[in-house]
Amino acid sequence: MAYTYTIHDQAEGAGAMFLSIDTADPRPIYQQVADGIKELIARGELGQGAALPPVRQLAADLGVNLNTIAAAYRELQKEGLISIAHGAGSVVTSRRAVERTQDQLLRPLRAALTDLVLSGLPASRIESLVLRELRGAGKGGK
Amino acid sequence: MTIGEFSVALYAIFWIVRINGFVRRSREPLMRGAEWFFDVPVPAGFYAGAGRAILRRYRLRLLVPFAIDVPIAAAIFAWGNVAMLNALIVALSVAIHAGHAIAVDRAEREARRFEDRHRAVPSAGLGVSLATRRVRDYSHPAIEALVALLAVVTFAWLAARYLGSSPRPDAGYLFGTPVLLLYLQAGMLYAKWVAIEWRMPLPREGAARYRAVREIARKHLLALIDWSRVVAAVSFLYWPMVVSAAPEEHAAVVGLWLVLWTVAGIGGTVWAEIRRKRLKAVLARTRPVRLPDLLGQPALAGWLVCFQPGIPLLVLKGARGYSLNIAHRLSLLGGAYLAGFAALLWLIRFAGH
Repeated sequence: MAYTYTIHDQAEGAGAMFLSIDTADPRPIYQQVADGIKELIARGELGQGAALPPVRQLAADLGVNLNTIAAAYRELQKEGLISIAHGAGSVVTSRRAVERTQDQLLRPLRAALTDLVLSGLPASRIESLVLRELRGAGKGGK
Repeated sequence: MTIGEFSVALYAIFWIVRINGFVRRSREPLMRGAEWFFDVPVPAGFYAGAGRAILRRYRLRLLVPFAIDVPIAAAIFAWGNVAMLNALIVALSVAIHAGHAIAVDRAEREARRFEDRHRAVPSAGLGVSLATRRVRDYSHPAIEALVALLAVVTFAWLAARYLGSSPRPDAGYLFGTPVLLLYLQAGMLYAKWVAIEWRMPLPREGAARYRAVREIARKHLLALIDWSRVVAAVSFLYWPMVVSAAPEEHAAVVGLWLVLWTVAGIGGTVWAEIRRKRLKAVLARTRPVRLPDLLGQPALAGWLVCFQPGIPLLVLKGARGYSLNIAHRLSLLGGAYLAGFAALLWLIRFAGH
């Protein structure tokens, strides 16, 4: 218990992980929470065995219904990324989601690429954006 | 020093601290300068116009506890039972903090009508830290060990006295006071739990910096609670020392403890005030941001209390002010604690007769 009044921005930023919820995002909040945690797992920031905050804490901090966070955790559990043990909390179990066919995996990518094309971006710009995101998402990969 | 003199001295110190607190709180709206009213950005000249009346009303609301206190204290002095001043201090401490929170909320609502819209920055989203907050994350093993040890020593001392006396002394009389102190210790632990569970919504932009500052504020409060727990734990020893003292030493032992409590109270207050000033400087470094309300709290919160089992918020911000969620587990536990406290007081009184 370090009762200090010094603000260590770097240390706090590096030590703590954050999820972002965007009010303008059309995805429901539970989906944003699940996707945010997935992203942290994919980047290796949440490693195997890392504890997630209790549903109650996350729901209170975001100011949402308990069911919203419970739904996000259930989705992550369904995908095999976390395990939920009553009383022991939720823990990251794997960096690999449950097996899905290539077509299932490509479906959201196709939808995102379609949106980018329809937004009028040139192919070269889309390509550089995709590569940048891939580099970010694959940080924790082997 | 007698118990009566101690109560009067404590009440006098309480008044001095309160005046300091009133002055500090009355200046809080201008903590960030004349362009702000608490966390509301206000236009230039606000305090010369509408702001003056809002500020005056805010300061008048802060005086309400004084208005309640004066007649009650006068009645206690007239009655002659000055030990009741201790209960008055506890009740007023709660009233001052609750009244302050309500006064701030009201004043901010009033000031928001004059808000400088160009400077008001609503956050586009929320950030949330994934660090877990448990009581053990904010507990110092040495403090917990000291509290436990003092409790064990006290009860062992009293048990030895009880078993070694012939005839046996009245158990209710012998154990009543330490049991009450133990119950108060549990109450402080409950307060600590509330402080740890207190929600921490963050703006999406600069979430790490806001979190750092809010964690400092949380730890400041927890340090105050832990300080109080240590003082209360040391006080466990008061009763066995009093009952074990020879009749001619009794007054001296009681007097020594009263002096110790007075010194601890003054020292603790000065320490807390120094820390509070440093905390204020840290808090002023972050710019206030209005956070989105994802629940639509005004529609869910009733007046003063509401019942929302699915909502993990202890306090909701309703259309008319704060609303305590009585379905929250901490509300239920707090209610049970107060009922238990009343029952315990009754039992000790009953056993004393």
